[in-house]
Amino acid sequence: MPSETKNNPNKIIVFIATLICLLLILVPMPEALKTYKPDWSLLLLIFLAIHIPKEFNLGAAFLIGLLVDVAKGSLLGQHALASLLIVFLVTKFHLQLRIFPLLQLTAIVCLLIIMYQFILFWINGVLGISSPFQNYLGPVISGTIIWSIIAKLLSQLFLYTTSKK
Amino acid sequence: MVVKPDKHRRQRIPALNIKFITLICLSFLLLFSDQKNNYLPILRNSIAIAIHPIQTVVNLPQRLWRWTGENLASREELIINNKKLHEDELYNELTLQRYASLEQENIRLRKILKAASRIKNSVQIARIIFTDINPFRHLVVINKGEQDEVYNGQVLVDASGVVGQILQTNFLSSKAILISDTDHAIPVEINRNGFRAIAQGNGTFTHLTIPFIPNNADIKVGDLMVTSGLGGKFPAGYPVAIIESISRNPAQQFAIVIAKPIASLNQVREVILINNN
Repeated sequence: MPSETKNNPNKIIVFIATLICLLLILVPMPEALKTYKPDWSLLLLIFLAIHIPKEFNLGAAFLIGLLVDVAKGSLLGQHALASLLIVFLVTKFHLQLRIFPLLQLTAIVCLLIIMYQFILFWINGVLGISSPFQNYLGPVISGTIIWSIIAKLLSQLFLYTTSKK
Repeated sequence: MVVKPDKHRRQRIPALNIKFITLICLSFLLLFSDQKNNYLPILRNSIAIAIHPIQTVVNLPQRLWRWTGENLASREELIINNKKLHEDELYNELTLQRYASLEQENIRLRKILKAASRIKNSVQIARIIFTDINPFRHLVVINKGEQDEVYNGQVLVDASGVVGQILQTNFLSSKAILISDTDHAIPVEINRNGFRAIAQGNGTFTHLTIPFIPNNADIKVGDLMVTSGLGGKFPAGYPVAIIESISRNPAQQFAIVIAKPIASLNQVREVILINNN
């Protein structure tokens, strides 16, 4: 099984990235920045779906979404559903997204985060949980700003491990 | 880029649509079953146990900081602190003396009235390990779980008043909902005259809404609201909030009443769990 062993470094990186992602989700933020906590898991999943969609697509989105649901104490399946929809779209168009320049890709990611927040908002609405508008807007702004950094960092990481082989 | 484009040019993701539809159906199923009746405590619990180490790691710097602060406090500070605690204790004992005699009197009077005497509740102290887990809700995680016999609906108070109740128990930790959550309401009465009302959370830590108060109700700014014990969930007599503002508009059927929670909901670190069974 040569392909299995070849994928291993990627899997380890994704595992560690997921752990860091959960840490970042759970880490307490100062009061002023609380609403601007980015959707770390979504950013990670978008990156994975663009670059290694064969290994990590909907299954990973569903599992990580469930983890986020439990970590955040939201309804089981809420984040899983939202991540699934976004990752499905990204996986469908990953070849186009791969050749986009960073600025254009960031704009697309911004739209995707808006969609993600809208799905969360929609489910919250069905449940009758009302929340100020900033709580939905904050992650969009911070996520868009932080996306380029995350994309650069992760691609450097993957590049490093593939070149080492 | 990350992967060589020539190798992956014609790559196709196998069975993407089927997978998508199955997983979407699965997550809708989860949503419905979780919302309807909490059918999935096992699934949630097992994921929560998997996450627990991460929660501990996240909490570590804060605990380390507190530990260093406690261990490196200077001698003078400790002496001052000690002195203050001694004075506090003296004062508390004094009040407690009076309280003991009052309690005896209360039991005697209740016997005369043939009313059931109030059951003494056993308590347990827990620490809040997480606060901002979800921006849409006012939930906190405490470090006591099923292992410590915490149960769903158990009441949380702090030194000054009611904080919330347990929403969900895991093995090692549990999730509690604060009285300020938009989904939470607590039956209260005005301490002065026993007027019954409901205090609803409105998503801010500093205010509770008191709905359905008639314009002519005997209610004043500064009135203390305590739990009435009527819903059966909260034991009676714990302070909840103080009336902060009342605006009576004759054109409206009900007055708009806002109360201020007594417990400092966004600062509290230690809470007391009351065993009401």
